[in-house]
Amino acid sequence: MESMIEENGPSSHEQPGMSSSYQARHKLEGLLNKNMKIRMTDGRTLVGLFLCTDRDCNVILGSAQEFLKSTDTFSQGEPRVLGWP
Amino acid sequence: MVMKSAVEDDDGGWGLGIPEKMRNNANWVDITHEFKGSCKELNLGELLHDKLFGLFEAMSAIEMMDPKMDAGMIGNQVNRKVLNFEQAIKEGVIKVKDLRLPELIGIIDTSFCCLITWLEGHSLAQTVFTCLYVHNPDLIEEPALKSFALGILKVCDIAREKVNKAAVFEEEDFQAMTYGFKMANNVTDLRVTGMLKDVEDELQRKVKSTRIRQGEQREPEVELEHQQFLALFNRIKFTRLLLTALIAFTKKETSSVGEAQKLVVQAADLLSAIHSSIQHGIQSQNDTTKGDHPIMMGFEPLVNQRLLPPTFPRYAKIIKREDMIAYFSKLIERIKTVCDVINTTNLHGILDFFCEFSEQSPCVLSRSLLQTTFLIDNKKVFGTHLMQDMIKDALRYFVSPPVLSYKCCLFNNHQAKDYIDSFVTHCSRPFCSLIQIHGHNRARQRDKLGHILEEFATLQDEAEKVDAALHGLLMKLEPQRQHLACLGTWILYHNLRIMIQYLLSGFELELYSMHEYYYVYWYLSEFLYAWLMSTLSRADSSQMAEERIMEEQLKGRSSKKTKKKKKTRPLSKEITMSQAYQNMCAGMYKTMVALDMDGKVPKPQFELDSEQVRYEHRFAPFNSVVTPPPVHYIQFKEMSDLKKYNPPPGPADLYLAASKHFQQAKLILENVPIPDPEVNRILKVAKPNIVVMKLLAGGHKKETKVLPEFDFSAHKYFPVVKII
Repeated sequence: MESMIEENGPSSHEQPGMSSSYQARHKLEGLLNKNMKIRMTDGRTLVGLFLCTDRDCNVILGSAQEFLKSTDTFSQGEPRVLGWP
Repeated sequence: MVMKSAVEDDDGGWGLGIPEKMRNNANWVDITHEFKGSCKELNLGELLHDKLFGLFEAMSAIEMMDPKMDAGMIGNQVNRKVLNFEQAIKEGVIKVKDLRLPELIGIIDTSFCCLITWLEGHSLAQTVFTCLYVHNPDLIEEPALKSFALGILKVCDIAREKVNKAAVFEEEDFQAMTYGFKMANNVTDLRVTGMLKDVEDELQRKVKSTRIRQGEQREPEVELEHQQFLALFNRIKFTRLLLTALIAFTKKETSSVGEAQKLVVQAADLLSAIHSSIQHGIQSQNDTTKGDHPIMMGFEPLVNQRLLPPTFPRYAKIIKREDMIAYFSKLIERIKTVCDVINTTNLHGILDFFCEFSEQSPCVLSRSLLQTTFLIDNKKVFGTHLMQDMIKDALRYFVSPPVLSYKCCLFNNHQAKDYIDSFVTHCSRPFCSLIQIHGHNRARQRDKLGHILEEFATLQDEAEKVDAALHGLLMKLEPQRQHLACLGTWILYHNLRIMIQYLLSGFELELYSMHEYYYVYWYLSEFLYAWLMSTLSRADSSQMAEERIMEEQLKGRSSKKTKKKKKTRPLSKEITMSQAYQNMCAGMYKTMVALDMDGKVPKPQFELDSEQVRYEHRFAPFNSVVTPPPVHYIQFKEMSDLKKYNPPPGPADLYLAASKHFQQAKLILENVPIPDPEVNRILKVAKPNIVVMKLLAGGHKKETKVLPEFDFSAHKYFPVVKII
């Protein structure tokens, strides 16, 4: 997984004394249902709602849109909606 | 929804490609590092998600970077620029004028291949519209290519319109999406055929001018040029003929169907010349061994990649040029057959025509053309006959009901007329649906046949009521005649035909397991065919009764003695065939029971179901039918119980009985005066089975544990039994 950006910047005030895994979960839960932008290794960018993740950083995005890199002939074109309706 | 699986780091340049609006309005924060760290804290297999997020949502996700699902990926993998038509012209990688002959021939042949691939169920975006020229024929300056591009667009447009109108396709047959492509709608059909004709004439002059003259020594280059002009000429002419034939199908007059037939025959004559000149066209130039698509000048397989639905892309494998001619000749053969339907005037004949045509699993275009030829826009059969009149004729032909006889007092009775007219009107829709069902692909037909039984059950009910009412009227007016079960017999006949076809198609579609054969064949032989034959003989005697009355009336009037001529009964062929089918089914039923006794039919370990569950599932659609009443599993078990015989037959007796049934079927079929292919196909199964059953009855290979084989290659519904 590459660069991950979160809109409405997450509040990262950590509570001391909590176990690190609890904190990690809390942090991730705070990100749920927010817009996430993922930059893929092949240059495409995906923007969608962060819905789910696991230990290997697999991510499920909702209402995702795909943007191509600017060098592509179709750059700046309409984004493409992904996923089954 | 998108699922993204692990990808390694790559920085720089992100944000590009995202519209300004999105970039500016959002306050994006990089959380990559933090996110990865947090994820590591999760347990193996643990999913972190919102309460409202369930597996259902996860089901609709596509996995990014999975080549089967991620349509956007292919374009990114290819190391070349994907240009659209205008861009390609600007970059000078595509010619719009002064194309060499081999280029034109190559482009046309590839376009034909794309057209065929589209007709076989791929999307336009991945087939015909991979050719850049058809995206905007106005930009083409080369007249031959321009007229061809317009021609192929028109062919696609008419084919699409026909297929949509006939509505006998499902997603596996045809992609109706046009993705907003322009299908040359700004030019009339006539203009396009005119342009093609002009090009054709011009090419013909070129062909003539390069032709060898007597006594002339010729340069090989001139000869090659001559061959190439001829190749191009044939292709343009073929396009024009195909297009004109399709245009003829859109006309309302029946005569235009004959015209279409003539045109496709002419087109077929060009195919061998086109085939022998394929090598004159240019081939794709890039190296396809590295997994890239073959690229031809003027073609860009990825030009429409972004238009494809977000579901996984089905990479359209365009058929090979060598296979193109074979496909076209079969397509033309099918279209020729379709045109013959107008020579059939009887509704039963038409129904048989549709069944027979469907048996060769024709393509969606020919199936659609058959539908649209049968019922033209004005809802008339072949554009001339009312469906109601066709149904009345079919009734007269099948049972000769007094109410439709000119000689019967009911014929001009108002009340009787009302009864029969409203009945016939009610029949019209189910019969049109029945014919439409036969236009679908084989697998879908079965499902639809199961459903239409409900409509026929309603008709059956009405038919019986109308029969009773008409009989009441007739008793008052002409007490010596009767009107019993005339319409009812006719509907019952169709009911039975549908039920039989429903069961038989299960063999063709390989739906049944070996241990299910015995009850399916039992249902057919003991029940459905028995009913069918009694229905046919009732119709036959009804016809004879009517003929007798006609004869008597004739005798009364003229003193001339009517010569008693022996004419063949109209239904005799069908009765004979039903007997043969019944014997084949009975033979198969007894074979299966005997094999089971010998322990040669593997049975599944029924855990959650039972034979009863399967049986009821197999015959479930018949529950909506009142006549004949469905045979429930318990009844079937009672009726087929061998213990009621004393002594109960053993395997040897059953094999022998099966052999006799096959023998009987053979005898019946060998006496058919003009055997059709179907007769020969059944004979091919009956003959070996007679021998195999006799051998089995004699105890041949009784101890073998090897399972018998059922070879359906000779006949779709009846296998040759093989003991190895």
